[in-house]
Amino acid sequence: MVYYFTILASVIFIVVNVLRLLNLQPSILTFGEQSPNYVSIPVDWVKKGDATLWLPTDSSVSLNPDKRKGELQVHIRSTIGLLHTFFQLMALTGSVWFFGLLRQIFRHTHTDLPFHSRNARRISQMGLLIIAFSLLSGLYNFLMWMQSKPLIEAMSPEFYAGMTYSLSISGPWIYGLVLLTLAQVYSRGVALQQESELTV
Amino acid sequence: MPIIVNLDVMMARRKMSLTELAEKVGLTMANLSILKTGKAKAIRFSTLEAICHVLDCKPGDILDFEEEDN
Repeated sequence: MVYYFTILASVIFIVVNVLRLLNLQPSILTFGEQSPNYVSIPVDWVKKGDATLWLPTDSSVSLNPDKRKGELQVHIRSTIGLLHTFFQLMALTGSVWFFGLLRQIFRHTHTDLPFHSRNARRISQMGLLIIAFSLLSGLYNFLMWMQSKPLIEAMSPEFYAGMTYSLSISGPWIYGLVLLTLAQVYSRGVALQQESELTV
Repeated sequence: MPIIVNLDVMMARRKMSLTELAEKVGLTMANLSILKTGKAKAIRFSTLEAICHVLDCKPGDILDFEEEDN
């Protein structure tokens, strides 16, 4: 079900963005406060100068009270618009691929023969997809920051663009590693099952 | 593989078909065929015992060893 939903979302995404690229997006196909043929880039910014407050008793603790989040509306044909659309397309493609693999795993798993060599490869691919997604998210955040920086600073000299990205232990990449490990264990299960099948 | 399975030889001596042997031993035709064609990776002692009992032979009559030339 989720697989078909992601395919549908990809088709809608492609149709809407082709219309945007051709400057033909109708108002009825816009989302929220978006203008036709424009895409929304999530950005955050802070005030220069006294942007960071430091705890007087402990200089390792700081707070940034003025950090703001918003959306930058850019035309899809701009560099930042094209980059954003490209990364969104890659994310959707990755999602379709991921759920397609999951669907294949469920279809090829039987209770009497649970281990299938193709499923080991699929689990491994799913793990690599999650890790690739994490890395591409970081690249996306960096590129959006680089592109949006001059735009935000042009709007007001008292602001500068912030970049929010953290590679934490609880990030999605750790689940990719878990899946890769599971794929190795699953491969061993495949080998044991094959040996068992050839034991008379 | 160095282990040779001479099941067909014993079956011919006892004039027993694969189907009959499979039925008496309690194995499927597919499993017995795997053993007969030498594709099996392992054999359980219980299976060997059953085959020897049905064919009235010793394990050495069914299994042989030939060193592979490297």
